[in-house]
Amino acid sequence: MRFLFPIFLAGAAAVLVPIVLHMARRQTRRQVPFSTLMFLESSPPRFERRQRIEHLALLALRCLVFLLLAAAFARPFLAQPVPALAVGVGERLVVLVDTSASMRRGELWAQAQARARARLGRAGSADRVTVVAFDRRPRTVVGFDEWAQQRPDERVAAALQQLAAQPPGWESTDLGRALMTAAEAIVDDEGDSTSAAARVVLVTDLQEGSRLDALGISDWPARIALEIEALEPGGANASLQALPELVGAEPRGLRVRVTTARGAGAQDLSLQVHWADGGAAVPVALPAGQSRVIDVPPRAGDTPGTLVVEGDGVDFDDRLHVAPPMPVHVNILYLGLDQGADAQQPLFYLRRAFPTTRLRAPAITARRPDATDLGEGKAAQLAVVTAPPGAAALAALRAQLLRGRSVLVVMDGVDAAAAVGALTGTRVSAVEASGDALLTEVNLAHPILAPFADPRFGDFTKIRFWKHRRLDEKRLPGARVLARFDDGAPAWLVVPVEKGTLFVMTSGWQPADSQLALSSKFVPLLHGILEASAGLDSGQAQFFVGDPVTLPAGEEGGERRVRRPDGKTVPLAAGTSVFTETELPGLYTFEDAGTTRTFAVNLDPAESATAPMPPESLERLGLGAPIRTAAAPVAQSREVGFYAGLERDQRLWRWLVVAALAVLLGETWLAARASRRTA
Amino acid sequence: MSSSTSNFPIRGLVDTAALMKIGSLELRAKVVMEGFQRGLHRSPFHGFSVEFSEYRPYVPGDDVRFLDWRLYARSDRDYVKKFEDETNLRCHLVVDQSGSMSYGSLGWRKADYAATLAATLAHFLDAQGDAVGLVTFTDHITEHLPPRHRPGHLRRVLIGLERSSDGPSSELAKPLAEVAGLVSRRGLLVLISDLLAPAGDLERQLGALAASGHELVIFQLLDPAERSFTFEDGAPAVFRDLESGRQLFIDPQAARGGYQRALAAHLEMIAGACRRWGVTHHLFSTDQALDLALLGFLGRRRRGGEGRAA
Repeated sequence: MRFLFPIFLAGAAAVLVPIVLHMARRQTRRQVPFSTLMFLESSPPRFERRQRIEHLALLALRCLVFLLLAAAFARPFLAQPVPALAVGVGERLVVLVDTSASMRRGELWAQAQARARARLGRAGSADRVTVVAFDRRPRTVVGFDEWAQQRPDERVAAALQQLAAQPPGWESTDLGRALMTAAEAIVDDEGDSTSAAARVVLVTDLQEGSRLDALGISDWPARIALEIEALEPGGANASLQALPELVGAEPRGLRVRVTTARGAGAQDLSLQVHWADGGAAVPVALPAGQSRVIDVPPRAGDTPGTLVVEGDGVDFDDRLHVAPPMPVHVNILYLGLDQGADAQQPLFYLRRAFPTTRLRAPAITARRPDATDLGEGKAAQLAVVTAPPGAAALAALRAQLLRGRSVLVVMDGVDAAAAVGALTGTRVSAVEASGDALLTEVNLAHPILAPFADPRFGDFTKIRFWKHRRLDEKRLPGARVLARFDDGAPAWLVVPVEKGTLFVMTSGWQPADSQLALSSKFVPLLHGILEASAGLDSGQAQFFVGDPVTLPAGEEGGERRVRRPDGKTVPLAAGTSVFTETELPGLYTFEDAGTTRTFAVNLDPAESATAPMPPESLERLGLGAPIRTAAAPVAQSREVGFYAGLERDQRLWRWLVVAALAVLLGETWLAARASRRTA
Repeated sequence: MSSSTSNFPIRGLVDTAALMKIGSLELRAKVVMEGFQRGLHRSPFHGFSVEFSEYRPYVPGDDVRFLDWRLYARSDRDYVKKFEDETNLRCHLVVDQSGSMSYGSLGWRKADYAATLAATLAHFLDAQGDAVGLVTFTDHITEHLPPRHRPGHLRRVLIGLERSSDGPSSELAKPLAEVAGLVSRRGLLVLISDLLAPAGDLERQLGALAASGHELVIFQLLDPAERSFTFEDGAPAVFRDLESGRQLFIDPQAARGGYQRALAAHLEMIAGACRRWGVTHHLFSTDQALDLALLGFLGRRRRGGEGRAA
């Protein structure tokens, strides 16, 4: 007989209670009425030296109840020898190792490697194993086949060597995507045979800022077990985040949000925020889990710089690189029949959606759609078309798309479909739809609509559309629907054309067509389209690690390059409009013939949310209950698991509880008999 | 402390145990009365209830309603006749019926003894032609019969005494304050109680009653067990307070010394208070012969050492 939780046997010490009570038994049954107790004080109990025999029997029964209960709580089982566990026979194992920026903290990476080594060392020779490192994207370090092809005694060392070559970078954590990739890898490797056990071991700091939304989209296969090797970091963390300049407000200096991570180990921090190259420090006292927005003392000349927060124990996210937004001139070409004075027409609202601000001076050039002299002049960052363009205009728009710019076609009637077809090189038609409509299936994951991804801003149901056109989007190659009307017709479409992008709205924003221009969604939507089209030209100068940066289109033949924070220079091929090598945080410089732009790349603020994620969050997303592995020795935990199963099968504790109840019944009967006898 | 108190039964003409077995209170009272009347050689009530009138010369300011017009007609003197009706003895028997009075270790309760004592006194006074009233109380006044001397009134007093109402009470001060409010005319107040209540409050109320002009006589009754704190089965037990219901685990052997010291101090405090306020205090043990006890009291009274109304 062995016990699963022998600690509960200590409860057997409770037998002392009836023993002491029996010895100190007061004659409580005999009551003596007395006139007054005002002259009396309670006497201490007298300990009886001798007990009568039935009292001994009662005492024995009472003690037995306590002993039985203690034994039941200790969960006894009849031991059997632990079978030689054929662990990992044919098991498929994915070891997911977090290499996001938060893993740069302290000893986390060394811990992660040690855990991975321990876990890989336990894999059997017949197991199929893959090691995947992940941050924002999962990367296979060792594939199933690669593992299988190596000699069993060299596998672990080789895998660890390859893992060590992929230390934590600076990217954020997309845990959901990594888990789904692991599940897919298992499913792909299994092929048709799903009989073998499958397991995903996640080695991570399980920080709160990890993204999990990919788990919400697909179902986690229930047969794949998830085991979390949670690393335990220490130290309080504080981080910085630059806030966008308030549009329309008086010009003011840089505002920065200082955030402290909550969770275990977090404490009140007194922080200092200052520029890396000197200057006065701003003191900030912050309790754990809170944030405060501070004004940063301006730099001389408004030059790019790096802010540093000091006073926390974790330094991977203590630097914020700031490139001041560059005032930019944005050219918008408008092709339409109206002149902008009529509040019933689209141009009236377009002008108001693009006011001139300190950082952005949009110039809207309104032309008739049948204008013929559009080929010359400075290229526009965005062209907006609200009436079917003439042949010359179509050629100009096509050239615009070829240069990598964007064109927004707002269909004012079914005739506009011809222009869409002409720009995309296909033949497409449209019909007028009847009845008013609302937007559904808004694709908030698209960068243009990303500002609405917050549930507070994502309600599109208040915008009503009186008129719209049904466009056959299947005829448009590569078209993505950003939103549909509730009758299923596409409302907003994105069609890549050559290097540029064609946006199509099948309903106008003017009051005759819809309430869009009057809604709060209108201005962010148009600015999103402009920024997607213009990139750096839109004046944006703050990016996150891993973000692609759209670069201004260069003149033909000009030499263009980007200087990275580590001093490397990346030359850009002609025609390249997107720079993707933003894997380091810091200040990047883009050099074109004659012009220089600096942009800052920083850590994703989510990565600074280093508090441990509650374990239920994974469970909520349908992963079942993940097993959290403590740092217990492997063999012991295996033994414990076996014994727990044995105990679960035998369930001896139930019989002990039944026996305790039976003894209690006997005790009641005996006590009643004893009291009748004495009465 | 009165000389009539005793720790052992005095053999009187009436056997207390036999007396207490008599069911009828009226009969009990008669037995006691006859018993000690036989022992009396002369009436102890001489001077006890003598008619008395007070005259004094009229002074301006006196209410002319109280002028004795007959005397004026007779003697041509204007005299004021003062409170002619108060010259009769008005006696209030104030009987404690609180929970502690229902204790008794001898086969009768202190309340039975108190009722017999009160009934005997009522008989006496009634036979003497004095007005007898009755107040019984627990933690408040439960019965009040104003003093009268009328046919049938004695019977009402006896019925009132028989109607026992054990009530919880842990203080005497409140009912005594009510008595003081109820009994406005000066007279004799006979308080029959065990006085097992905080002595401080009691002293204040005794002072108030004495100061309002009443003559106060206290018969304090205690059961022999209450004084000796010995019980048949000397084993420890849970003692239950008859008034508050409070329960205490008590080992009588261990607690006896402390109890007797506390009781003696309490009795001493009461005796001291009575001395200070001129209150006659008699401590009776309920195994004491009633007639002898009364005889002692009346004898002292006859000698006139303590009475004011006499």
